[in-house]
Amino acid sequence: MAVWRYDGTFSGFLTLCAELVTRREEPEGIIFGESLQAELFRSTVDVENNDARAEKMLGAIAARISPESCRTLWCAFQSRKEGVELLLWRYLQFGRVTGAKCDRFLAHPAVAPVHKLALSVGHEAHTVRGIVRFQETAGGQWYAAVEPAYQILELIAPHFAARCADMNWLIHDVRRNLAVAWNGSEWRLTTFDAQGVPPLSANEATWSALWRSYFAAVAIPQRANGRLQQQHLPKRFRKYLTESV
Amino acid sequence: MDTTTMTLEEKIRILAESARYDVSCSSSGSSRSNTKGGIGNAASSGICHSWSADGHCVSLLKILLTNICIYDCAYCLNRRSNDIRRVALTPEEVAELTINFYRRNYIEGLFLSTGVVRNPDYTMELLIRTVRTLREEHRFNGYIHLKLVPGADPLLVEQAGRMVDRVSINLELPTRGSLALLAPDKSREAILLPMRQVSGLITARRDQGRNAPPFVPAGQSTQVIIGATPDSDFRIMTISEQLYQRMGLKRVYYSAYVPVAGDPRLPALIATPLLAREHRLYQADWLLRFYGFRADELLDAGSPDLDQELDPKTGWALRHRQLFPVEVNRAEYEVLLRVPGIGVRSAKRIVRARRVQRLRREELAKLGVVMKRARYFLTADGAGSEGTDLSPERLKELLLPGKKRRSDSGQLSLFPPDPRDLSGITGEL
Ligand code: SF4
Repeated sequence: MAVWRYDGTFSGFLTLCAELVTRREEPEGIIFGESLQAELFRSTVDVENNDARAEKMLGAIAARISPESCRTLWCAFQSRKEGVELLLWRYLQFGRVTGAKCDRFLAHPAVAPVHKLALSVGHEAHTVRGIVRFQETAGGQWYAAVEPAYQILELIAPHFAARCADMNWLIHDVRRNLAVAWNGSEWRLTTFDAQGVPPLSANEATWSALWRSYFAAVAIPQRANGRLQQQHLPKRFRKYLTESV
Repeated sequence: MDTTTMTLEEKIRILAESARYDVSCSSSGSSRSNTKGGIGNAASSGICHSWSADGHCVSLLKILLTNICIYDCAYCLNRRSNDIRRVALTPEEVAELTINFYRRNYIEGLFLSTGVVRNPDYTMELLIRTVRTLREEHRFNGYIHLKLVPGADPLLVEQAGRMVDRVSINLELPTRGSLALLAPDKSREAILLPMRQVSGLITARRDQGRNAPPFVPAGQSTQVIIGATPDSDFRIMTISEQLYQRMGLKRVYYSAYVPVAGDPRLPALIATPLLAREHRLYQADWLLRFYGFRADELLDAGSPDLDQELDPKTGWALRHRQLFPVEVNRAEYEVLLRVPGIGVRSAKRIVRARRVQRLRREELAKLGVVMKRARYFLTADGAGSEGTDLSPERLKELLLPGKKRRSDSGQLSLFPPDPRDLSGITGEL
């Protein structure tokens, strides 16, 4: 058995899986990038990303297991939890045996952890759809900074593309130096490492001030419950909220 | 009254403070897609955008058009006899505010209510003008929840319903008697009539098929005030049940009365709002809507109020111990739902998983079952709980929430659940 290495992309991971299937091999571990682990093991197999092969693999998963399981796979992958690749590989192996029934084994050790990861990534995306705060830039564009726990920009982009179709917006994942940007007709994931907030439009301060005073007024003092508020709004979100800066 | 010299900011503050006693913040249950060149859509699952200092989800811009009111409802801050500053926003101002908040993703849409100015029809027309400005001039396709004015012309009600996602008219008080006492200007009929009308129009719309123009796609809701009158929980739940069954309401909200200014018609003793009671009512309401319970299973004339210590489902299960334990590999979905510690989500998972796998106790926790509670009421592959011969008293003790949880001091960790929050609460019941 060997440790297998890929380039860190989802497509790269799928290529790796396809290669494992072809060679009928079981990996000892799946890693990406430079790592001590790779040096410690004598044999590391490097797999180069191949988009066409990845695409084919995804098609095969959709056919053999189900289209939903492709989505589950992708969501769980985005968690980037250490060791997630091996979990996903085992899930796929289990799916090859059980076929379309795979996702009914909700309590099975090959399935449960993958569902759990996918669910928590989906949940993070849902929350972020609400807490994104756009600011209008001097150039008439809309900028938002977020620090989600997972890499979920691609999960939220379609939502804002539909909703804010008439705005040129950009959502910046500050920690990962990534952004999704919408130009009025399509969205794109790009690397983005600009620092700080771009210059804002003259109106921006007025509207954000109005929002802050509105926000302060909606809480009923006799029902104050700071603990509950904090529970819903983790710190990583509060940093960029108009109402809490 | 002097509404012009005030800044927009002051007006917003006053009108938001007056609107906050309406609990509903739901933005779910509709689906409206954006139009070309338009802004916004309504997501069917509902989205929270923030949480206020009282722990409430903030989803909609919840505001009054004006706090001027010709009526004198005892429990209301805006009542005619209350000496407060009166302000008004124009429909255009509200529309502008909504759009600008929406573009910044502060909100999911608008929840617009108002005091009654001049007469119900005039007021209703102001509300409609606001909505029309948003929909037609700003091409806003986001969520709108509109309050109906009691006594407004049915034609206006229908017109409003064609443009918004949800309407509501508050029942306010559970009985005719308490309404007459505390809201002398509103008759029960003036509230029930539009509710019935909307319910009829929703049904009619459903029969017309998919392509008919929408009519309040997210349905209608209402709100009942808790603790301002001596009405029992049984009375309240029975009314809710009827509203769900006969009027097809989507939601009944319960609002613990917050003393907003002394009025001789109100109980003087409520120092803090009855949050614990409100919380139990929400749980019982949840049982009516998603768990197949009837109000008279949870309460009756002999015990007309919900147990404050135990959640209503656990209370029910303790009174019906002869029905337990149930075997999770065999029990029907409806039966699983009645097991304390099993929620809608975990019941569905059990049904799905057991088709391919025999479930043992180890698996149940993975499916989201709260074993701490459920273990006394189920068997899994024949294995039951240790100590099934517990006395009812001992069992109740075991099922009580831990001591560290504060009771009705206003710091409940579980707040009225929001519909989208199914996952959060279903495991709890
Ligand atoms: S009609 Fe509405 S705003 Fe006016 S006093 Fe009654 S509850 Fe308050």
